[in-house]
Amino acid sequence: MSGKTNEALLNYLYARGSEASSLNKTGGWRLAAPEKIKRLSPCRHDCLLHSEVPDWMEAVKGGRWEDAWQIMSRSNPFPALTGHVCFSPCTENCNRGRLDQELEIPAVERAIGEWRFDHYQPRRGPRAVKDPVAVVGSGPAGLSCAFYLSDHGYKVTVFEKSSISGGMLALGIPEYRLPREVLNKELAILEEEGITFITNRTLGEDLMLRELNNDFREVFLATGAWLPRQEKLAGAEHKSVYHALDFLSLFNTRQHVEIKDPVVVIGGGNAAVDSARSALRMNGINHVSLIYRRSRAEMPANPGEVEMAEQEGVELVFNANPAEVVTETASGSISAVLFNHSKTNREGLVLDTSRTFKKECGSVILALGQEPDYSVFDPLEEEMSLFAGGDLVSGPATVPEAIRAGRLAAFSIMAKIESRPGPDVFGISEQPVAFEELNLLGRSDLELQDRQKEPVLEAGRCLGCGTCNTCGICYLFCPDVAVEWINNNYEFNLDYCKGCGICVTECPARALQMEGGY
Amino acid sequence: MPYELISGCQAAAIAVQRAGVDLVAAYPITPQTAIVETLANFEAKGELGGEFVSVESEYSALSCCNGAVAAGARVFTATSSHGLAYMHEMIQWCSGARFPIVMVNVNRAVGAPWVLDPDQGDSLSQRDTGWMQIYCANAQEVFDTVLQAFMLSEELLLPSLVVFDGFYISHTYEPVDVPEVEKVREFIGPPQFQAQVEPGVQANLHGLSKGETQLQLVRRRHEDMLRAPQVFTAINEKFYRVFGRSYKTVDATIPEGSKTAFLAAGSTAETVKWFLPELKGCGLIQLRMFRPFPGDELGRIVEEQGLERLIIVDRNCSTGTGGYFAQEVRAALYGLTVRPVIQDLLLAGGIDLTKDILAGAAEKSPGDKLVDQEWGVELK
Repeated sequence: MSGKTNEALLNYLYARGSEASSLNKTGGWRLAAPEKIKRLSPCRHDCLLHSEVPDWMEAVKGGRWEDAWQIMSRSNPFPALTGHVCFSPCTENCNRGRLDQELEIPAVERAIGEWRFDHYQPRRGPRAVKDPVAVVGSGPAGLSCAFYLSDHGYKVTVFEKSSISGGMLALGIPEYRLPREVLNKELAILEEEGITFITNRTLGEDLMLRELNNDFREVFLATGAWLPRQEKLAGAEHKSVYHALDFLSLFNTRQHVEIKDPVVVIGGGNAAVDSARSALRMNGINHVSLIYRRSRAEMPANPGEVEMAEQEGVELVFNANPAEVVTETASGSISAVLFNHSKTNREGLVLDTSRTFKKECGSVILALGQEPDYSVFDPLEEEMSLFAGGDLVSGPATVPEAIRAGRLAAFSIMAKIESRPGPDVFGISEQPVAFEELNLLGRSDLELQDRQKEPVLEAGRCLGCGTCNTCGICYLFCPDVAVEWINNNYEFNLDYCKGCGICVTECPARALQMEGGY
Repeated sequence: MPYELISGCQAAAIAVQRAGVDLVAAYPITPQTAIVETLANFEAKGELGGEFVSVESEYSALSCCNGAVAAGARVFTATSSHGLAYMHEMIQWCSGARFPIVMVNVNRAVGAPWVLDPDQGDSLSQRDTGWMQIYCANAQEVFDTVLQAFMLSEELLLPSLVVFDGFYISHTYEPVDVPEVEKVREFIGPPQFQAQVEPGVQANLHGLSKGETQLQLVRRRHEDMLRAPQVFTAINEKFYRVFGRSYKTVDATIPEGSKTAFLAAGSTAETVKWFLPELKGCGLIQLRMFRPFPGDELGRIVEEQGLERLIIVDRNCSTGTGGYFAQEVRAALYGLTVRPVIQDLLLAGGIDLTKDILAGAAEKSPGDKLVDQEWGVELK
């Protein structure tokens, strides 16, 4: 301490103010010190992108939207998109749900994305100055890879087979799940950032791997999984039998689809549900049946989406395996689909051909799964340097998984170009903070029990499991002046910490621990 | 006039009740016990108007007052002798914290051995603790001074110790003018000082501070206490208009031509005054305010009266130096051009001040060999 007298203190006739405790550096008594830690929250544990949910919640709570976006974009550059299309496993084990109602995480996530749309400023400084990188496929994996490369100054060109960019986001996911305005805004920002988009270029036809390898320093392949899985089904070659992704592409780009009521959708995945719900939205379609060969519990589709389909009027039929698409001889049009009863046992799917039934219909949509089309990579040459990710590698998966793959690809590409070790694949083995571990007794800010429409308020409901959410309990309980409020954060000033550990015991979020233990 | 026949202790307690306090925390001790009893009776009858906190010690009594006064309450406590000594740490704390507390100390000798007689050493030994000290000569002065002490303390944000002798005043019944509650409360009014702690305001009070800070705080406290005589005078002018009585920090009764004066504080002043007609050629200076010491006023009296000899009645003794009052008077008058001879009449132990002792001291004419210290026990 300086020898100067505290002027503020002398406004009083008696000693008043924090000069008092600041004189006694009790840190010398300390045998152990508290330290801030970050433990895994259930939301981050369950998030497919392992997004730092409590951190961006904390930023939103404080109205620090720019910070929220910076934290968010470390793992997810497209929160507006994922806020719409992700099935939000993050909310399933939210500890707030044990107290009253789990947080509406996707709503806050969307709000961050929308804030960014409104406040986006083109990055200052040089853009697209580093080596050129080609990204083939403009789906979520490709866009994510392009974002991170571009963010680090690389010159990125994205090639797309279709006439519009977005891949599965534009063609596969129906508009009722993802408003196209959101996708278009993301694409506009990416273009503004200096990424070049080239559409109508098909790999293996007018886009050759050899040329890409010559023209670009590195190439990322993210062409997805669009090839319908071939199942032997009699009559399936009829022109009114659509494969789900073909149907969705036409539907989503508002092209003409030759489809007649009633519609039978065969399959149990998300593409099947999307197809059923989309078909029901078409003019003249009043009856859609979703028919799956296994039970409802075994459906790979998101249960929430299945429920929505059911509520909208889609008829759900289970344990029925298609045997034949029946065509009316006279008109040549489809009249019905024949099904066998089917169920799963230990050996797999068992058909009971003695039990059949006929489902009358005008059109059939087959959603029996899809897989990557590897044929477009011929000819592959040994000296080619290629990166690949997304559905192309994993098979059909989700948007957040594709974003994660694109991010991993971007950092791997940069590591290779810059001769650095590649990124660690973000894996999680830690157990998330359990509700029972939280110490909520001392918290006075838990009054908002219901979900809040206002994102700032909703973010304020976050318990910050394992992450400091500046509740201030440590500041309140510290018997000395070892906890200071600096730059919107509580920090320890160990000069004054006796090492009593009260802050660690009292921390509601379990974001503190004693260094070296007690 | 509603005169009542009451003891000094009752006068103090009734004054507290009349003034209106938010809290009393006190522990009984001879000879102060009647104060606590009287206040407890008020509390039992629902007439105290504030909290009465029973504590287990004097230390707790003053600590309790400290807390309440920090919150803006008007508080009172009373003690004697060992009780006051036990409070010593908190006594210092009060003044440093600028708590306007009023406390009565009924003088009693401090052991060892156990003594009940009214030696003033208990209160005088607290002279450097930052409290104002006022010595009362009779029950009426006790009543009036307790009332005035609340006003003095709350004006200066300094604690006051109102002092009177055990038994001679504490247990002696005298007619005292006791005004009605309404009249007193209208005169004093509710406490006006700023609370140090308030709900919802976070503050770190009286924590560890630098020496530089303490220097500034001590200086402010010293300068503020030096204003006490002036504030005391102003309070007494107002008091006179309402109650028809007033007091000075130092009072003098000097018969024409007297060159010798006794200087006394507390009941000894009343004793000297009683015998003045028989002590030819002697006057009386009654010291009421002891802290701050009214040295300027005393010097003015000595110069104006041309006093050549002061006999200081000290019912106390600071071992190794002598009587407290004599020390203070010597120091205060050091700057005079012509200084009177100062003799210290020592009555330590609280022995009775008789006519013989007074006469014996007065008879020593300036022509005799004068000693600085006359031990009262030898003059009997």
